[in-house]
Amino acid sequence: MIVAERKPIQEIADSVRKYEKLLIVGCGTCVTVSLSGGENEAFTVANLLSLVSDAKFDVTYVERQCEPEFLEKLDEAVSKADAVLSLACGVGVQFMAERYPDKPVLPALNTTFMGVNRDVGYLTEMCQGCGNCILEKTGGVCPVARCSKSHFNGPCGGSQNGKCEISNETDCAWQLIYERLKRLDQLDRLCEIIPPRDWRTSRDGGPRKVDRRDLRPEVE
Amino acid sequence: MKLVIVGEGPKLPLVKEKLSAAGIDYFSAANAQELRELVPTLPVLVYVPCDLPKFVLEPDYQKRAVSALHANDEIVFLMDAAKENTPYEFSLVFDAAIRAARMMRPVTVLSRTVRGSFPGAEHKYTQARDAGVRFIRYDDIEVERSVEGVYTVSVTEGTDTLVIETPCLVDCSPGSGPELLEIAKELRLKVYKKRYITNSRWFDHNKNTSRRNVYVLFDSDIGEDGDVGTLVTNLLSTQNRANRRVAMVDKTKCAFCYTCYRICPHSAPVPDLTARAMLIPEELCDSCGACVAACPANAIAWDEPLPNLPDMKPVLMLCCENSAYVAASAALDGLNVEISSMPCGGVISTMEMAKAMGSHSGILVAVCINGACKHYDGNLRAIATVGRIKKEIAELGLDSGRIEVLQVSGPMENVIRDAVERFEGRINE
Repeated sequence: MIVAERKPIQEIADSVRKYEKLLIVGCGTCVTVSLSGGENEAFTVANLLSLVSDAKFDVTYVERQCEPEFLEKLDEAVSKADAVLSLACGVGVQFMAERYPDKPVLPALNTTFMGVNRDVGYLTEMCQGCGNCILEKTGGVCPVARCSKSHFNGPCGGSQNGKCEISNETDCAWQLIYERLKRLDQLDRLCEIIPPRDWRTSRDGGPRKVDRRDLRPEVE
Repeated sequence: MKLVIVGEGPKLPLVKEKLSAAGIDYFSAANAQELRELVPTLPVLVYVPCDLPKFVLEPDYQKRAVSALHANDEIVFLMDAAKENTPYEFSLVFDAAIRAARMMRPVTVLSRTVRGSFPGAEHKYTQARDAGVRFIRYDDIEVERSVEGVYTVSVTEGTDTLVIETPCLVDCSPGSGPELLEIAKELRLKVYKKRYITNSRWFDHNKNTSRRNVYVLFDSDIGEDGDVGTLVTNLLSTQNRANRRVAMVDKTKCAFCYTCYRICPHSAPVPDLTARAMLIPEELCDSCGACVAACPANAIAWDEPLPNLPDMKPVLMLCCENSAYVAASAALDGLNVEISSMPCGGVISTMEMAKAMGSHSGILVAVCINGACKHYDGNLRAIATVGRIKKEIAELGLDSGRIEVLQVSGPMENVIRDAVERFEGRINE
């Protein structure tokens, strides 16, 4: 799931100051689940902004702002507004901006990472979308996303008592990998050297796309 | 009348016999696995057998253990350490202490308080003292265990500290066994300190648990004759409360995020995998509203809408109906404050509060004192929510003193009156 955090309310207030009619749009999937951009939060933002502004705030939400069919429902409401404040991740904000080229679309969230819900309001990063998964070699713990240095062949000297040197609250990914492989009785995997990798599958290769031609055959 | 009885223990066969005799139909389950296969909507009675150690419960075992000790080794019974022991447990420990003392061993019973509330308590104290048992009351305790297995127990009362060394420390609050904890997990009961399945909240019936329709049955409830029929009939007759609000999930809006599932103090929400949405069964909801406030998709509502927040008077006082509302309605007749009741402090949401801030010059949220929330942590949720609003409005450059939280109980009229006067004075500045 994509995890986001709401921007400080003052920052949002500054960015929407010059608009008279603002449409505030929540997003009903990832950011709702990560408790930052659902309808509840959208109303919270509207009510807080109303305390310092006389502008008109309309609140709505769509299932997902990253799907054209869901955005269609917003066309009319957007046409009546001066600007849109989107409580979606960066994906949703951009997709809205693309759909409504004449309206400013402003972000209300900082998109943070892809992670899991460990408890209510406690989320941690698990995947970085590097485009070439090696979890089978590392016992299901990702060294790319969960090791601060993205080491591929064991921990660095900063691993102390199972924690990473960046903070006492961050587990050393390689400690977790070791423990997990030990439990699976696969410690021999650690003898295998993972060679330097081709990072073009990750962000280094530029913006990526998935193009499944098999799902959309061209009709002549 | 039907119910499910779950658990295992020495007194259970007798109880079951008596239930049948009282005309109560029951399904029994010995463990979590069997419980899972039973009808989920029936009331559940969890049998929690006495968790005292064998040293206390089994005279033969105790006899062998005591014989293995040196003659001068002190036998120390540690009561009230991790949880407060019940009078019933005390009476069992007294018997064990007397038995040990009669074997001519030095015996000490450590406890936080003196118990007088079980039948024959006074007589037991006398008997025990006559046998040579010494009683020590303590406020604080520290236990260290050496490699050789000798315990060093330092007990403090006030400023005095006493150190006892013993190879035989009998901890009388060990907690429930793994099978029972698994049952608790299956029933989604809140388990105190991860090992005690009880509900020691003083204001609630001690048979109630954090789940509606789930009750506990302790050994102490079972008399010599094993008859619990009346107890069970009484429990089940009080389970339905009329005219209450129930939280309802709008399935089309539910994001299936499990937030309500995780925060509900009564573990009421259940995932409806067919509808891919949460479902809150009416018989499990305890009408506290924590989920209504917390739902990120705004998908949970009461079956009857909450009255709109009134906007007539400058100061709005939101009172928990279990404590503050009682006090406030008595205290504030003459004051210029709008009093509104809420089912629990947990019901307030940032969304609603931010809205109310727009229509009132000040908001006072009055909730229960610590440890006294009927819904476990509603008061703490209210404090956290108010904290968040304070932060948000301070960021906007507004006065964060315009919203405050107050913890009171029912009889604290004067505290409420003073607090409101202070708060109004602060707002009018």
